[in-house]
Amino acid sequence: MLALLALFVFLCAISAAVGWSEQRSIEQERVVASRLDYQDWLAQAPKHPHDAAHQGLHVFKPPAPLSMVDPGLTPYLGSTLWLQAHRQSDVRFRPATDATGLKRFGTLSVAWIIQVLGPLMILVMGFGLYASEREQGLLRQTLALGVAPSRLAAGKALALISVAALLVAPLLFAGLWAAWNVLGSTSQSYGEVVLRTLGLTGSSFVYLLAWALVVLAVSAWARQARVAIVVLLLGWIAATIAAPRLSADVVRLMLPTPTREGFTTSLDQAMQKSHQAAWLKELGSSTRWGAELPLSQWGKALRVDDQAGYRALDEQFGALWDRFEAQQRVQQWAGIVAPLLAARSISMTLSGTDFAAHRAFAASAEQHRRRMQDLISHDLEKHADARGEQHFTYKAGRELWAQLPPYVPARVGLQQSLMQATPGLLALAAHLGLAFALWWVLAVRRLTP
Amino acid sequence: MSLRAVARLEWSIIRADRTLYWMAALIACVLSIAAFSGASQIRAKTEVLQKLVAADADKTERLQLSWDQVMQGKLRPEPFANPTDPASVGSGLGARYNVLPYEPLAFMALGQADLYPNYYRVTTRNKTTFLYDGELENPWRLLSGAFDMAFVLTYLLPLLAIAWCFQLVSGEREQGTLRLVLASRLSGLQWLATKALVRWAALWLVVCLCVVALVMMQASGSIQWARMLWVLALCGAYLGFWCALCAALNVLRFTSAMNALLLLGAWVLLTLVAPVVLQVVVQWIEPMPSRTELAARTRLVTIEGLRRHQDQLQADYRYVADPGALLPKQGRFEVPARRLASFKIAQEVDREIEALLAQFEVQKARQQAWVERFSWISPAIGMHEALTALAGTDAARYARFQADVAQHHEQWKAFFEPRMTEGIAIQREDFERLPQFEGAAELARPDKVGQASGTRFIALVFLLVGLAWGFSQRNPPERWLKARA
Repeated sequence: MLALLALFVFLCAISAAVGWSEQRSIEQERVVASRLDYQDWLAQAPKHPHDAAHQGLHVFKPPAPLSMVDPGLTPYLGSTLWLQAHRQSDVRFRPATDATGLKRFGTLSVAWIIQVLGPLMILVMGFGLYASEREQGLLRQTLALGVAPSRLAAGKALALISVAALLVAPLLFAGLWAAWNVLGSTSQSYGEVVLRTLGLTGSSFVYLLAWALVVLAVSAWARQARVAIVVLLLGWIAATIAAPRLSADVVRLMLPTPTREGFTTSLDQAMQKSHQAAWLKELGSSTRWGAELPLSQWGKALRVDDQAGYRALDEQFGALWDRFEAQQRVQQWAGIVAPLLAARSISMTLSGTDFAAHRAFAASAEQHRRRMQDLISHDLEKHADARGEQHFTYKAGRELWAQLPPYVPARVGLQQSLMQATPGLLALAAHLGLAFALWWVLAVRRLTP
Repeated sequence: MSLRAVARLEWSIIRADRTLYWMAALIACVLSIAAFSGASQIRAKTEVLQKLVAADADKTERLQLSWDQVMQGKLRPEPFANPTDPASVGSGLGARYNVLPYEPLAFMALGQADLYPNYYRVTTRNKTTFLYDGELENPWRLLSGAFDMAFVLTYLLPLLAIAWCFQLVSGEREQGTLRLVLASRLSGLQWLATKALVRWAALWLVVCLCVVALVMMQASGSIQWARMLWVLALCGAYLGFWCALCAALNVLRFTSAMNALLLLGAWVLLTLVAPVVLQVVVQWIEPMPSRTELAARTRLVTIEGLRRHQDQLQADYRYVADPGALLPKQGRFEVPARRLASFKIAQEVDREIEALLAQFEVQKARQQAWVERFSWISPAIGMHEALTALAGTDAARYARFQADVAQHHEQWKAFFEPRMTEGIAIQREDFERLPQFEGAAELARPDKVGQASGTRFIALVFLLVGLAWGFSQRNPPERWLKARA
């Protein structure tokens, strides 16, 4: 048992070290790249502002401090956005595409170890607590001595709960280490990371506590230790290995995700409809950038075109992201029976590596792009359109570039994260209630020697 | 008792306790769910590909029609959708999808099919604008993985083998029948090996029947029998490893509960922990270049391009003053300077970042080589890699597809570059001469994949047989009657 515990702690230490090292190098690169990118924006030679928009800006998502303990969805989401003229960009360069097929086996992290291997440790240590004693006749002797089943149950539960507390300790230490090393001005504050770590540790403890109660209940019910271990192992495999995949596929059938081609077509159609209406209303033309557009209205056309697209972009991207969140919510509720789903969702939400954090980043980056676009089209309307046929001889300089402030990534506050985690927390609480009831019935009320 | 008698006896025990029937029902049920899930996903993805191919099919005709109408003066060309303008045709109007069809066995192992798209729309824009788009998928689902047949065969099948064989000796001892068995003239090891062999054969037969039936029901297109036979052979070898492990452990005289625990520990280590640890090690040995640096380099090249082509970018849209500028004159078409500059900048970006992009591919190939070199540490890695390679959804095949698309992108640009720079209008017959995508992202050879993984599994089986023999020297069969304390 000690060897198993040592292996568990060793794996946690290794994954925390790897996570911390990766997070540190990504953050250092991001800070430098963001600064240089903005400097390049400011240092542009005088040029037509629309060309400046084609140069655009890169924005980078800062890694959340607790991503070192739970990278969550990070490997499957990009962190770089190129803000350019005309259209909202999609986040590129997902780390998973820079890895071999082994990435699909999972990502080594402290959270993964606790969520997947933690219950197994509890199971190994607890399956025989009643069943082995029953097989050896010790349980009959203990009960014959007058020990009340409730006292016996409480004692055994306390022992296994202590193991659960021990297992989440690496998470607490790694989280506090992350708080100590909070980097960059845009990251969460020290205090917030500590609070998030406490929440993360607490929810992980509740998750393992529920497992401990189930293990005790099954052990109290089984006549033989081997029956207990087989039933528990089946439960563990179903709940931690099969359930995440199965639930993801079931949800996909219930709430299908559009294909990239389908999404692009739908977005194109929505944009076209919106553009047509705006061009007709504001510029008296049904053709975008048609031959009849005078250059004296080029800047105005750019503004009209951009602003008409914003609504379509919001609707289309909003619908897609809402779909992702709805799919996630169904799986969070499935956490009532497969607690890993609830625990994983809470963990990534509190770590700031969930989809909501990514959505906040992508939305704030798009707002920044729109700020750039509006700045440019207003400037063109004001200065270049007046030149008529000489529109494209207009050049803006640093005064215009400096009007666009540096990008500040959006932060998801603790309160917002807690709101996001609520379905997962409720599902986990419900699961704990069920586990407690099972334990109460099998290990306290109906315990037989 | 002869070996044949032991085999017969074991078979009658198996038939009598009905576990095999339950297990067969479980395997059939789980594999069916997995096959249905995989097939429905591949079917939806295939429909998308068919839609794209169908949309592209009549594109030549449509473009030729609109070209005719422009040339006959029946249609006024739009500045950014002009069929006579090489810039318009090359940058989107004539663009076609490069498609990688799904293989008939893809439903068995989705592999990387949910991460990478099987289609790219190639234009004259630089390749970072389209070649690194992922398939649209909920990241939560990507994190969870797919419930496909590869998952069942790689993760769950070993558990069934463990449940089936974990008490080969300990079960007999705990039921009190071991003494009788050991009294026969067969050696303990021969008896154990026969028992394990019978159980392995029964389980493999069930798996074979289920897989063949499901493939015949769900495979899209003609069944690739050679690949399927390799899948079955790999299942046999993979099961062989787990049954041999159970047999070797049983020699050590642990109780059934302890056997179950130890075997499950081995399963956790080999199936869950080893692959993720190997991934970390491989990334540490062969780190990928920085994507942040790629973004920075792309930006710098773009800035330089914007500066270099500043004069062309300043040019106005002549068509506003002269609508006739949108029509070709004696086979010539003057591409607007701004569009020509954008094309040149895209060319420069492609050229300048080529070396950096190549580094990503090189590092990925090196990582893959390390994975192949060390996949013997976990049969699960070998099984998963082999199944995805046989299904045509492995990372290496998607890398080959991307390389094919990149090559086609070069051909596409080479077709349009002289037309754009020398001001040659698109002719009617040019639509039929547009470069066609001929990349097929060659599938991994089934015998090569099967032999590589199968050989490893069989070598591991021999290793375990050797270990069992070694264990039996310290734990001779006469001591098997007493469980280890």
